[in-house]
Amino acid sequence: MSKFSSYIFIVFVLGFASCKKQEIGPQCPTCVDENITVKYDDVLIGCEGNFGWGNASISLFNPTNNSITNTVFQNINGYALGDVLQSMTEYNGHLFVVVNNSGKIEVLDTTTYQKTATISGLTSPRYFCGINNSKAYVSDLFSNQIAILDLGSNAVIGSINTGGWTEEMLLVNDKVYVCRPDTNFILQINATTNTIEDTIILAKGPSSLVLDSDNKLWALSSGGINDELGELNQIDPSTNNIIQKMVFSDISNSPNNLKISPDGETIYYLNNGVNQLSIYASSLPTTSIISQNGALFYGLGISPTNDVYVSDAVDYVQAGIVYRYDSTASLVHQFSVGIIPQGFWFK
Amino acid sequence: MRVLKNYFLVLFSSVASVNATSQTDTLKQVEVATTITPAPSYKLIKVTNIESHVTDNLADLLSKETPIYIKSSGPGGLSTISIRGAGASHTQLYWNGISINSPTLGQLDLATLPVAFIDEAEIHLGASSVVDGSGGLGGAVQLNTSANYKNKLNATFRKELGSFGIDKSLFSINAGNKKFQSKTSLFRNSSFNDFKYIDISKENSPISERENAETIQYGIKQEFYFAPNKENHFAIKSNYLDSYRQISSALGIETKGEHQTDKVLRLMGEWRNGKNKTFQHLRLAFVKDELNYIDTSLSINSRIRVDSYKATYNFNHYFNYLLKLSAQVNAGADIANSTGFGAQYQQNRQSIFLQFEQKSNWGYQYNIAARQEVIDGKLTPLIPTIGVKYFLTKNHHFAINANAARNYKAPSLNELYWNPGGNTDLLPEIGFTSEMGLTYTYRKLSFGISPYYSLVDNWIQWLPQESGIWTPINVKQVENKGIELEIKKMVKISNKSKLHLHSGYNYVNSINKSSALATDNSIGRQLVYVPKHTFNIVAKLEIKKWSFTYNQTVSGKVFIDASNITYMPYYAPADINISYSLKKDMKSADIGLKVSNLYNEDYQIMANRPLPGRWFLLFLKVNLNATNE
Repeated sequence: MSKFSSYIFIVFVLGFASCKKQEIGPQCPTCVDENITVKYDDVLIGCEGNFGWGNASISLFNPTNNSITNTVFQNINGYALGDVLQSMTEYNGHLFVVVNNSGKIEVLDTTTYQKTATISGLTSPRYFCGINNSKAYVSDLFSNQIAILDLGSNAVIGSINTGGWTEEMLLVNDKVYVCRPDTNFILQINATTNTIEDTIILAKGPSSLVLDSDNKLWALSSGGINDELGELNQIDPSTNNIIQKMVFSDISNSPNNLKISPDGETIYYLNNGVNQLSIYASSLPTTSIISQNGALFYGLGISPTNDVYVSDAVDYVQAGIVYRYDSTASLVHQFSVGIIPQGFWFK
Repeated sequence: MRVLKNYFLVLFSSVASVNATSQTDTLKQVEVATTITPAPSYKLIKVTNIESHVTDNLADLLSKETPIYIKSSGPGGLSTISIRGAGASHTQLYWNGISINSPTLGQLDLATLPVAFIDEAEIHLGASSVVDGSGGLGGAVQLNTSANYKNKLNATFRKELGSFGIDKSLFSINAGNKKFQSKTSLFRNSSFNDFKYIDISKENSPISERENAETIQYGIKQEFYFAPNKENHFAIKSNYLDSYRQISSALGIETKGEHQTDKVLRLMGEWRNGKNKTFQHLRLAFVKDELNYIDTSLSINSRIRVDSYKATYNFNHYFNYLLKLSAQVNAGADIANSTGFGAQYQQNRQSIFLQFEQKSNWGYQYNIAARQEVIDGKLTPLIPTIGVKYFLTKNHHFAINANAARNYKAPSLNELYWNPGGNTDLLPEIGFTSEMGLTYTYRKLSFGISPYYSLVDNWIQWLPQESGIWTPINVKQVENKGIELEIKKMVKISNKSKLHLHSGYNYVNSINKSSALATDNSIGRQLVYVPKHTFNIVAKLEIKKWSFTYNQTVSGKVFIDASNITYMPYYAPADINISYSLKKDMKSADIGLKVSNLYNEDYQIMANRPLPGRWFLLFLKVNLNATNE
């Protein structure tokens, strides 16, 4: 080998040896925003991310100036959120961000979005339900238990056996109603004694709950996957009797994402589009207020000003889309966020 | 004519033991193949330095010795291949001509294929994979075994000890005479893989130790070769792998103790016959593949068991040394049981392939071929291919070639029958691929450049439906354009020292052209986990009893979301391998040191799956070798 070519080779090797890159792991240069300012009307969008990929994130949208910042948790706190963002629940000035497959809850200060605590040691947490200043419940997909949290130490201090998967929870007069989506019932738990007191039988697959202005409970059952017809039930929490039962007409329907307007007068849910009904209605609406137009809506949120936010996860491996409609269901704005946007929190 | 006949016989007996390869008579530029291989107008890569990777798996081999992108979750972890921008299921892997992609998944985890099971590896890019079978929209990998009838006794023991608990042992003994050969290999590989890494998922990115990443593999290979006369060769080939792997979580996920076992048995009987100008090659095979994935925290206990029966018959007839007709008939059945099916499914496939190949005396060759397959009694699209090669110079140093093919990939059994979600209405993914090439070969230098273009329609992707069930759907049309460069050079420095250089560079622009989804924002963007640039170089310097190898690979950044917002940065790990060989008569001993990730790069290939920094491996090999000559 000539001297020249050996020099070339040495230079080549040294070239590689001297290349030091700073980037480790997933990078998103367009997500970085050094100057995140918290505004009174912010909307946080929980982006689930792909199971097992560790790419859950939170996007921040401000409806006044239409600004978007992605991966705000990472931007503010310096590390990635984790794997599969399941839910965001506000309680006592903190936002409890449940990161399902990371088995943890990140607790954020709602005035700065800075992390104040991490609650770990959960199996497959789904939803957070605050009981009082010192106590909260966390539902779970696989542990067959509801975890009891001490909000002072942010630690798991106990559990309630539930026999299976638990989903959304709602506190009504010291009683917590808990969805059991792989069954046909919801549980009623005494929040003082942490014991199951009653079950309410509904259609298969109850997964979401809201409370209306008349202090009545609404539960939405999907009907399972082509198992039975879905149902929307209005329940009187003082007796646990079903006041009104509305049955979906098509077995292929899988209604989900039950939400309620800030005044507690209007119910929303997803079923081939966004559907709306008054709490005084006696039947399900026959047409959607917002149609999907070829998309598949994934998440739903109703803002304090009755704007309807709905998300489209597209093909689940690209930036999801959020559509913002006003209270008359006309499209105001649409924007791209993180992977699989599924939930909204309105400041 | 008599001369010609002898010519064939001589060639046949010398190459008969070499599967799926061909030997070139440089004077006449005639190739005689005893089985069906891609014609000279197609591009293939012969993987070199296989012997030095004998204790590695196929993912390690291909990621180091070729510029092909291997997507790996970690040492010994799930590793898949992407050729020319196509997906893992668009590369078909063959063991001695028998398809070994999992019929349920449609792809093969390269970490479950130990290099100790094979003697040769050949990558058939693009259109050339039609010769092997359908489904290789990106290409195919042929993994072959063969015997050397000159061998009397060749016994090797190899021991390797390395960082994070790497402990590998390999014993092999090949013995026989001019008519009979036996080849046996036994190995055990294990590693704790508890290497240190930067945990970017935690506050202040602490240094952590990888958990739940242990791997243990046992394997045995036994082959018998028998050549009763010059015209007939028989072989029985088998290998068995027992693999246990813990599956470490992505960063940000607590370790849950997931683990997987793979038990794979491959068995084959083979007969080759060559008489006058006609060559026949029959292979009958049985493959039993058992996979068990357990995640106690998520109550997952997934079992897949597939029994495959395959037969393939090749026929080559030379009308004269310039004109050849080849035919191949395949039949096979896959019987699959999976916890994801809830029932047993059987898929039967038969196919026939015909190829006509003609050469001119002065260095011009063309071939035309077509394959027709029947899957479960239904005709699949006919896949034709055509290729030409032309020598630009009289000395045959410069050649150009061009080829094109239509191809398809039938849906996998999971895509058809997964419960719930399996979609029996799925259409096959249809590909068109074409390539041009310019090659230069003279003595110890070879150089090649090949631009290519391919289009895949009906690209399958799993998507959730209104009911919440995920279903595979024919969603996209994907266009791959690229260029591949390869250079190989041997420099003789002195009588006792030489330098081998082998380098490759691939560029691929793989974009989504159209989508069945209304709001798809990935159109016109690069596919996820397809790097635009990949490069490798292997420089091996031999000086007397010393050997130094420097291996550098570079993979450009890959997008990890289809909208091309987030990406994994490029990585460029280098390995260095130093060994010293002592030889006395028939005995030899090698001792060596390997330093991997020489520059201690912190990197991940798949997002949030860290890979080890600099690590070391010591190896010792003792060998006893005698030939019949």
